[in-house]
Amino acid sequence: MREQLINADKRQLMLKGLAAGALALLLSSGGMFWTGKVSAEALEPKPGKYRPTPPSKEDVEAGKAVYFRKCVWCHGPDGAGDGPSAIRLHPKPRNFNQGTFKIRHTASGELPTDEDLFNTVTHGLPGSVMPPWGEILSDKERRQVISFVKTELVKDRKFDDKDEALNVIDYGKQIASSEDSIKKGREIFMTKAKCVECHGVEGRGNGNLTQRDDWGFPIFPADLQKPWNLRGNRRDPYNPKNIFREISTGLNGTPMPSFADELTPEERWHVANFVMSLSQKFPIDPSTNKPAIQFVIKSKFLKEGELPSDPNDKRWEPLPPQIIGMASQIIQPPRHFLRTVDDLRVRSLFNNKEVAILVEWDDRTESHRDENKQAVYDMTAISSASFPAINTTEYTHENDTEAGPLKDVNPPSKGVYNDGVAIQFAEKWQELPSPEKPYFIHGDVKRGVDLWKWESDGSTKEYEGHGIDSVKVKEGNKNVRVDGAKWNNGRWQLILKRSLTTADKEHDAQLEMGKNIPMVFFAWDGDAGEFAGKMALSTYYYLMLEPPVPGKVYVIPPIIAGIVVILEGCVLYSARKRKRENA
Amino acid sequence: MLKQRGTSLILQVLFTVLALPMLAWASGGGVEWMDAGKFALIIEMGLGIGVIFLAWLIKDKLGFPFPKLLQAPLIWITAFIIFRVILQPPIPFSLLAIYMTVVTIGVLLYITITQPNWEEFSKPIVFMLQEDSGKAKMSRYITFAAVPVLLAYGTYNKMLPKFEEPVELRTVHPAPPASINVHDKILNLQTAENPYRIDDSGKYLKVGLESAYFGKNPWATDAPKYLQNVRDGGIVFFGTAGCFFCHGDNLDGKGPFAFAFNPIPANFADPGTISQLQETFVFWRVSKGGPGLSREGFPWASAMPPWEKHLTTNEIWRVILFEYWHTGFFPRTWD
Repeated sequence: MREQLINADKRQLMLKGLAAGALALLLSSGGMFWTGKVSAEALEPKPGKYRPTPPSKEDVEAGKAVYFRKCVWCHGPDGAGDGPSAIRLHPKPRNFNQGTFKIRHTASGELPTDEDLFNTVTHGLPGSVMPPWGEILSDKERRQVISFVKTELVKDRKFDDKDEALNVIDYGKQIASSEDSIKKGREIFMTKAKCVECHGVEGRGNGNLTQRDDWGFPIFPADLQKPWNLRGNRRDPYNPKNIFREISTGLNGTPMPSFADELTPEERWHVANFVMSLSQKFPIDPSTNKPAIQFVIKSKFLKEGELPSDPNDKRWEPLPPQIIGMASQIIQPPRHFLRTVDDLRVRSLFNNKEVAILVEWDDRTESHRDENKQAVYDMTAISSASFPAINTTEYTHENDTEAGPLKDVNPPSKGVYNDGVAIQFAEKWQELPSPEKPYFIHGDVKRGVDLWKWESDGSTKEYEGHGIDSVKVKEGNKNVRVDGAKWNNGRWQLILKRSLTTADKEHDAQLEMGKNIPMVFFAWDGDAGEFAGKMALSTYYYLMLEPPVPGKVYVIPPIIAGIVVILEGCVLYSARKRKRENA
Repeated sequence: MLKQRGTSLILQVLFTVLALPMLAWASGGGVEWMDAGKFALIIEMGLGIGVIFLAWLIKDKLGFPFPKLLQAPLIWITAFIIFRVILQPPIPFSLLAIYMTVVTIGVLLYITITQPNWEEFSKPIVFMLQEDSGKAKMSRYITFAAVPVLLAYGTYNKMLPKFEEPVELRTVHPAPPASINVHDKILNLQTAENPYRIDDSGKYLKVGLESAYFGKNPWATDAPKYLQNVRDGGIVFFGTAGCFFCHGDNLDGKGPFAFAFNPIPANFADPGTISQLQETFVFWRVSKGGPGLSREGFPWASAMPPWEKHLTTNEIWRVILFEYWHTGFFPRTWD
């Protein structure tokens, strides 16, 4: 009896201990798999009527200090979106004065909820230069700065106004993505809701490009194939919820309307699922919130047949497109801040004779040089003419009048230029002592580059570069060909080809299998006034013509296995022997 | 009986202590009173002790068979997963090798520490090798087939060409020259001073004293001279030059173009950059940019513009003043 009691006691203790241990393990593993990042979950206000929390005086005061440290540089001392950086930017920083906010949970035209503003400050607005402050400012500081903006900088409307009704949208019952749902969504996108008129047949934002926002700035429809650039994606770019929300609320201050009255919640979920189906789901790099980049471009060996001449050839399909990140050329005059091509997708094949590089990139317009053609993008309007606060032509160096005006703030566009793309290799790269390379923008005085450039007037030229100002055409060299160049629904596709070796060993890069060949990419958007040094550029990448797998890879492992089997035999033999001896 | 209760209690307390920071981490992604390194250490200790404790609990206390032969690799694999996958940021391979050596020694000690322990560990192996019962035969066949297959596959995987990016070791802060020529003026980097580092009376402000201005509003109408210069520096950073396109609105190297560049833009908010450098060093980097680097700094790859082409000398000094003010760091000095 007593024994039993003790045993029961023991068992209880055991169970307690076990529970504690299990709990600790659970917690620790839970903590382990927590990424340590601010979670992608954004706060969601409850559907229905919403009352914002009135900010306290202390919060407004504390928020003011945060604002003038961190926010004033873009949003301006008066919150009018006219900080020092505004002249360089498109989209412009938000002008708070009117109380017009794009990303909300509230009905069209209404003010945002506190949660919306908090999410915006926390996650930033991808695709603009608003960064995620969640990693920088504490929760408290973010709430404080929002309090300051709401009370002091929003001037034309008041958050505590009795007439400012806030109605939070209802997500309803989310419809999971399926072929059927995507099909219905496509139907609505193309006909009933007419999304296609602005966003284009394949969603690349190549529809109506002549629209303006409430402040008179040109505004282009979103490229839905790059969800990581959508303002309201909350660093969760592949979540259809964000699309549903924006279709439901509309983006105040922009031509994007709310479809809450035209479409039922089910229909909006279908559209959201369709929009999500448009984009390729590249893995996202959490440190940049853009598709992750691999710096080695892998070119696969094609055993037989000619290299494909059509970008939609079946043989490209097994190759994953590799993302090339593109920045603006802001390093040497003429500086250019508003590149429109922010990534290229590249695939490559090669055979014994030549290499083929398939390049694809999104560009809302097909441009050709034509003196009489009006540019679609009104660059004069994008620069600061619409900002009375800063007139760039008189914007001088730090009030240092002797230095004169800044010459590089988007001079008036001279009409339309060609779209274009170029790939740069180093001359005689095999002879450069590693890791030395020519300067990445068209080389330098000592080290030349071999540049293959295609332009949308159909010309393909090879250049020799010794710096941004000294690029000259190699008239005699005609080894680079471009096949299948085609603009369609807001995207360029083309295949650059060249023989692996050429006669001009001095100035043409000779391509070799199995080596990391340094290369750089450049792109031009003609309608945006890009030409010569005004361009988008990448950093150094490596082209790797992957050699076929050597035979020894298939020979040595079996040999190893054989040796191990022999060893096992020895072990077994000795173990047996010992057993016999012991017996 | 009593002793047992004590042990159990101690273990419970231990786990509560360990679970607290884990809970804090899980709820907010970081603990304010502990740096990440210490934190990871506690987590690991917690997990390590947790595994051993659970093994002890299951086997010795509840009587479920949990052989040492399984325990040893389980501990080893758990440790490997922690160091390799869970510990962020990832540790270099050399460090991983050291840690795993320690773990291996620990596991070996654990299984050989007493004779019974060792016997328990080696019994199944001996059984597998020497017995002729059906069970032993079966395990022998499986083991003897699996070992060479796994080794062969491992070798194949190692030999398969992987085509990684070449490893290039770049010196981030190469030695500066003794003097530079900017806008036709020779600047001695040993002795030059930032002309905007001044107080209201126009006197040079000794490094460290500017902390009085940290966090204050540079846009206030009655801002002191120092803060006015900070504001002008900010206007250069965000307006005239557009530094923020790469270095970011928070000077943390995460600007809108940063994703495209390799090497990535410098992070001034990191205590390893401008707070380790003299103002004149920063002046050299800003004015000469990527192309002005020596060979070990990879001048061909850096997208840092040579700002002397776009900015006046005064603007460069002011933008440097702004960078230190914004991050709250002090430049390095000779004293």
